[in-house]
Amino acid sequence: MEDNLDLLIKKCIDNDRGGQLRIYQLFSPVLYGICLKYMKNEDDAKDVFQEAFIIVFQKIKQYKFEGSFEGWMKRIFINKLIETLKKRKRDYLFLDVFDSETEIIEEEELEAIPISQEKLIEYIQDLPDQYRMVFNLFVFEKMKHKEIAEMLQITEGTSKSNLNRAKKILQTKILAVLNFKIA
Amino acid sequence: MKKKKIEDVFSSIENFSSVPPPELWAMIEEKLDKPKKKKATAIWWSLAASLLIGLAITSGLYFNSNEDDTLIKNNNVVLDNQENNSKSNTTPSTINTTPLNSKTTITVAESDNPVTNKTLNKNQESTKNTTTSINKKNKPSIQLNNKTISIAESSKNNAKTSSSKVNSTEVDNNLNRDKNAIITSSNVQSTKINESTSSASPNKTEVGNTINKNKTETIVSNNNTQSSSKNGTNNSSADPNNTKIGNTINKNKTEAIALNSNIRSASQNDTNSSLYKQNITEVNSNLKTDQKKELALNTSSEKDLISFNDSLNKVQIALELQQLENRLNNKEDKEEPKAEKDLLKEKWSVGLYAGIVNSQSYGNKKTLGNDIESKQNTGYGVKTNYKLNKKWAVSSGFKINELGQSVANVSYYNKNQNTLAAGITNDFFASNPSVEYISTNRNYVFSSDNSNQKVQSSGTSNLTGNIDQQLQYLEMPLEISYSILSTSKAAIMLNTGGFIGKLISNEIFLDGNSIGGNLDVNNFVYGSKLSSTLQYEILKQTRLFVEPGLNYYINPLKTQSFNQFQWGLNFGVNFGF
Repeated sequence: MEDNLDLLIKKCIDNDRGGQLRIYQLFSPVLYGICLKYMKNEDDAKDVFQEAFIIVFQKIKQYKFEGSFEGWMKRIFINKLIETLKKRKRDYLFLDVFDSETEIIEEEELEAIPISQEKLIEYIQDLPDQYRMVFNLFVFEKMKHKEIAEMLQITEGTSKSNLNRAKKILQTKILAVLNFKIA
Repeated sequence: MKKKKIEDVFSSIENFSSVPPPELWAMIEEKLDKPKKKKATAIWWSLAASLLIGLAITSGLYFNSNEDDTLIKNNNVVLDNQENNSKSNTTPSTINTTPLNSKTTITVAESDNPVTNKTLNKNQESTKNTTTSINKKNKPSIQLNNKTISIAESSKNNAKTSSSKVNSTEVDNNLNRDKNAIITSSNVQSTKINESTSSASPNKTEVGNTINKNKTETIVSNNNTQSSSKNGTNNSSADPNNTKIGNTINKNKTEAIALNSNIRSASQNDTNSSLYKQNITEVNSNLKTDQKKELALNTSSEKDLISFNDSLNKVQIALELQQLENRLNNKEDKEEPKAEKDLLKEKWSVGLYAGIVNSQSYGNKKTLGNDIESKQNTGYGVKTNYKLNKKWAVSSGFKINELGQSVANVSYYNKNQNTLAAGITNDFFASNPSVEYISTNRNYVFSSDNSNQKVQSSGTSNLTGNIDQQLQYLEMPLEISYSILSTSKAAIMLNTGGFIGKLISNEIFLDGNSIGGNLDVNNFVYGSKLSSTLQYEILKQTRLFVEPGLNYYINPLKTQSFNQFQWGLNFGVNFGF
């Protein structure tokens, strides 16, 4: 049965538990996937997932029924994820000092080898927090460095630097897999 | 083989999705109604705080105004004929021939200090736990069935002689298990930690603490065996400690088990007879177990379920409490919309402002026999603001502010002119004990209407004029602000606090001409502030604000009446960073 999304949203506004559950069932896989990409491990992803979904239901009355509801929820999730990661300042405080202009790396052409999605997620999770944030925002959210810089309160140069370093780390891992397979 | 860039490799997970563990919905569902309670609690706390501030200010004004009424009565010193006759016998003979002998009324400020500081001290303190001993008497009760395992434990602790109020902490712990974790084992360890000072000391400190700890002992169980467990709630053994613990383990099918632990710990602290207010903190925390570890529950061994690790040391307890506090802090900010978060990024802000202030009094205060009138002045300053969280902030800075008053139609004598023409010498003023000089310029003596009439009736000329007094201070306020509205562009805050001021200028103007300063002035003043700030962001990190407010000066002058209230309207700009 096809769900009437607007009707479900209105049910959620009325705090109807059935409507909330249906929204959860419809969108939780995508949103949980986002959490897994941004957080370091599954436990952290679960924490943020719960909190962000609660915010969705609490703020759902602010949804104007304009634009994509899924996009609206994703924004809440990404904001929550970024906020959570920014509170863990351990990893990236010192990363801001890198000069992006000197950190440009040459991207290598990678062979199209089959790597499972779970393995790719694992590679991303292994990145330092700030590299992971910048990589996700740039590659998956298609944000520009200026926007990322504003969001993370860093310079554009730092954003570029972090992206390059993230790519470099990921390249190394993928190449290692590639070499292993070739060998 | 096709070549790829790194982005291309990861493009396959751009729309990556993964079904979340089933127990997450149960946890979300459980928490959905809690924020409303928090909001309601916050509103009540805000109302209570506002009421308290209002009462404090009102009380201060009330007591102050009563004392000022007394002051007014004491201010008028009347020298009648009899008194003057006796005194004038000792004065030079020239005075006996002057009309002032008949009756002279001189108004001077003469009273005790008009202000009695009324301070309301409120101590709020939450007691942190420190470990000294572990109470093993608490045994949680267990309710088991196929779906639910609940552990509830309550114990109470009533301190007989404590005047402190209850500081309770409520902790919800959700212990999640992953898929395939058929069985879980969790040991709820409740620890009552009592710490007291030596018996010889009058201070008694009692700390209550409850801690949950996962235990990694492996116990085997299955659903069938759970049914053999007792249903219902068993009350815990009687314990005088005022600690209430409720633990609930929810099991969803056979895949996941969630453990919710509600812990309330009450700690009472009575130190030096100070009153501690109730401080309730609710902490929700989720404790995760390692997916790879297989923990099993053997319901036939319930004693193991509730057993605890005696080797738990102080460091472990402190670490867990710290984690709970951190999680609490994280949750407080979780509902911020993006705009509010952007504002919160700017922890600090610096503002420049200037405005007009209007000094006035209440209660028909008089000086020199005339009504005190309000006076408008200006003020300007700089202040810095630090955001404690999305609602609360503290601010301080420096301000040049002026407190003033006007008194119209005051009769006065210029000793160099009027009195000498009337035959009065300076010796009269010097020898008359009831004469006090208001101005540092001792050539001027001010009189009330009665003496003025006498002077006039005797044909002696006198002068009347308008007095303007102006006290300029360098003030340092300390305020706390509460944001009642915050959007991406605008914000409204309520501010209250106090200030200390150093006198930097003190002048009396008679018909616009300076005749020195007021002799009765205090070099340092204190007061309270109440204001609201309406600000609007015009540029990034730059906001204009308008700030209407009320200042109350406790002690501008030592004995004389003076305007003590000051309405102000400041305009300014602040920069966040």
